[in-house]
Amino acid sequence: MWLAPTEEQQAVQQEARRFLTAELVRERRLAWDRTAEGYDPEFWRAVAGLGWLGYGLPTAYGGQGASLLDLGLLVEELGRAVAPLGVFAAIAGGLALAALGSSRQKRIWLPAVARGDRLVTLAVAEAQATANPAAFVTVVRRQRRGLRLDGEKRYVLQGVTADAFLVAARDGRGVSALLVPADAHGVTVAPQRTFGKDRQSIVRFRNVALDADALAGPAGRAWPRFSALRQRLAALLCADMVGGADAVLEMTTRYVCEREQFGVKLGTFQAVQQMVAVMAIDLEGARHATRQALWRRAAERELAIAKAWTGRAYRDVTLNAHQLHGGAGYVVEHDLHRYSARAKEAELRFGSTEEWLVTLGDVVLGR
Amino acid sequence: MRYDFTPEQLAWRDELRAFLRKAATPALLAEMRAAGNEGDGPLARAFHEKMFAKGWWGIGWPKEFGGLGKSAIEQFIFVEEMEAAGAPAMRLTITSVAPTILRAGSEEQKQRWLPPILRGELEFAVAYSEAEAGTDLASLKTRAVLDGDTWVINGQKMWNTGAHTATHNWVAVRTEPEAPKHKGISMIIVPMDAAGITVQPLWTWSGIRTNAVFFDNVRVPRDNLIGERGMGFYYAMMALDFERIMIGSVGMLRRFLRELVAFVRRARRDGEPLARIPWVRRALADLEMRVEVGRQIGLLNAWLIDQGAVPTKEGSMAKIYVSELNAHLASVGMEILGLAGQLAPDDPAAPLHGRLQWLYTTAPLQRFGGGTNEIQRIIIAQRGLGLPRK
Repeated sequence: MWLAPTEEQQAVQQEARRFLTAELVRERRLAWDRTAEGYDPEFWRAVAGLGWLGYGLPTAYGGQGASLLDLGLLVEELGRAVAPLGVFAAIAGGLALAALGSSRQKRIWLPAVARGDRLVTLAVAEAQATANPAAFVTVVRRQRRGLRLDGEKRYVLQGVTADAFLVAARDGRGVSALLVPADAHGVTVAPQRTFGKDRQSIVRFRNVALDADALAGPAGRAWPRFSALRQRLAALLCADMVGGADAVLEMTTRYVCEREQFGVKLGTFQAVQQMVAVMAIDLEGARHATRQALWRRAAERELAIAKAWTGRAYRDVTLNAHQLHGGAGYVVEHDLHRYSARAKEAELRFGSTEEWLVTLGDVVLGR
Repeated sequence: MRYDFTPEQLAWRDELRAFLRKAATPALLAEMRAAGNEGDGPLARAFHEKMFAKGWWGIGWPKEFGGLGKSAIEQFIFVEEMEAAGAPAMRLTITSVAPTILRAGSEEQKQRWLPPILRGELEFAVAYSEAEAGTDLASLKTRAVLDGDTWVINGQKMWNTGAHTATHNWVAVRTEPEAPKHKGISMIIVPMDAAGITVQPLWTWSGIRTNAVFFDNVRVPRDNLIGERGMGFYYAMMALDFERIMIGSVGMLRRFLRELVAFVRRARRDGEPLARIPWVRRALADLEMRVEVGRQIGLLNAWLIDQGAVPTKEGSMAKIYVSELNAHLASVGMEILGLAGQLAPDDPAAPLHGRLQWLYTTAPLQRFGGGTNEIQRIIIAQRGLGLPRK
């Protein structure tokens, strides 16, 4: 049992924290809000230079082979800074290709992903299906010597700027994974407007002709690997939420220690102290449920607990923070809203609180 | 970072389990249920003697005093396994009184009191609260005045649980009336057979007996004052810190949840298996999640103690979290049991032997006792997060 980051893990976290604090200044963020990527090329090169995009990828493909826990501790820092979601999207896309891709695809793409030269992103969710592949409308068919892809994916992270999509598509037998270049004929991308103002997209595939080697892994048998991948990404997203909740609690305690009303600091009021203590307990539970899930490589029970608890906790922490900040935290000049939107969006992604409780019920009582 | 026990810790857990499989018999559990889980019957006493013989009541004490010198994590495992088996709880003598003597007492006091405690010869009740001194403990008024080499005690204590069966009482008294209220209190050991003590029963909602105890010119030797004069308030707070390893355990809740799941798997309602009803599945999943998170917070608290920290914030978190989860699990669990949830332990049809309604009635004590949860949240805010007092 060792419930704190080791010295090396702390060093990684501190380096990330220093870097992100220096990079994510307000003016720059406001400028990024108006770009397609949500960041600028200098930032991206710096992130890639730190090796973050290949941190969790296999060493054989230019990565550093970090464990899910080590990667999660880095992602905590992304969440603490509400870093542009593009970084998370690139990490997730790399892990997806490493988990599902053919060795040829991995050889061609992963080193470039690790260097930050190429962006692969995951395209699984649809308008009316996220976790039940039988309901997918995206379908792949055999066509002469190749394949043909039709359908529509949504909520694709960084869809607008991705170089390729790793797509889950239904075929006659089951679900296949396909690596589809963004410039393939028949692929169109349209931005979605989310309240978190991150870069999510609708990706449409209309009669897209693909070579047979676009298939990632054996045809029709990809779904178990998509599910396992989804659990690992959910655990990483929990880490992002833990870092974010930590930052929100910190900014809130700082605020109530400074702000005065009725001639005293807000933090002297017992009602305020009670709320802040509740936030701290929610956070501590989230931190250790999440780190345990990462340590167990996103095993179903531990991940379900982490995602259900952390999703609810981060959301509640941000809403309590709004209450304690009042108007000061409500204006867009304040960063709190970035955390609040990220919290609610993260609660919805990779299975919501209630959906994971259903899964946990299955674990407890059998399906 | 590592979220697993070490092989040594797992071996300790397995040793405990093997012992408890034999020692925590159904007859013992039935005796404890009948006694409101107080564990004072002959089988419980025999169990306690076995524990003393193994030295397991002193697992966290230094070896020089006959303890096993085990880490806080190993103590956590111990409490968790004991609770999971439904075994009689460690008593305040072990969890509060002895560790305080160990830390605060003189060498002579340690040699005098600790060996008989570890042999199970002494049983303490703890007398802190008074009618007008509850959450505001430092305002207590029971006085002790030195008369030669004898302390003379006058006053009244409340919620002195176990005073009617204990051999000794661990009493917080005011010895320095001129000092500020936090600095005028001392801890004195009072034998329960001393002249001038009257014990009156107070019966609580949960069925557990506690007592009001009156001290009328009760005389005890000067050296029965433990540690330093005027430090008693801080010793009482220290004792609460020791208790938090125990308070932060969800071993009992894990057992109740396991039994609740077993009930749901076999029961039907309105023609449908209970296990197929969506709200039941959702409620059990939610409890599974909450219990696991509570376990993490308790483990964190114990682990920090092993790192040499005094985890005031995390100890308060564990106390709040587990006490509120007790109440929640009892309430939701009774709802799942349906109308049968209200059946008392002595009704033969009571599911889970009526343990959930028992938990429902004892949970309020956990929330307001040992420092109310509101005070604990203030401790978290002020001492943990640095919010201002004034």
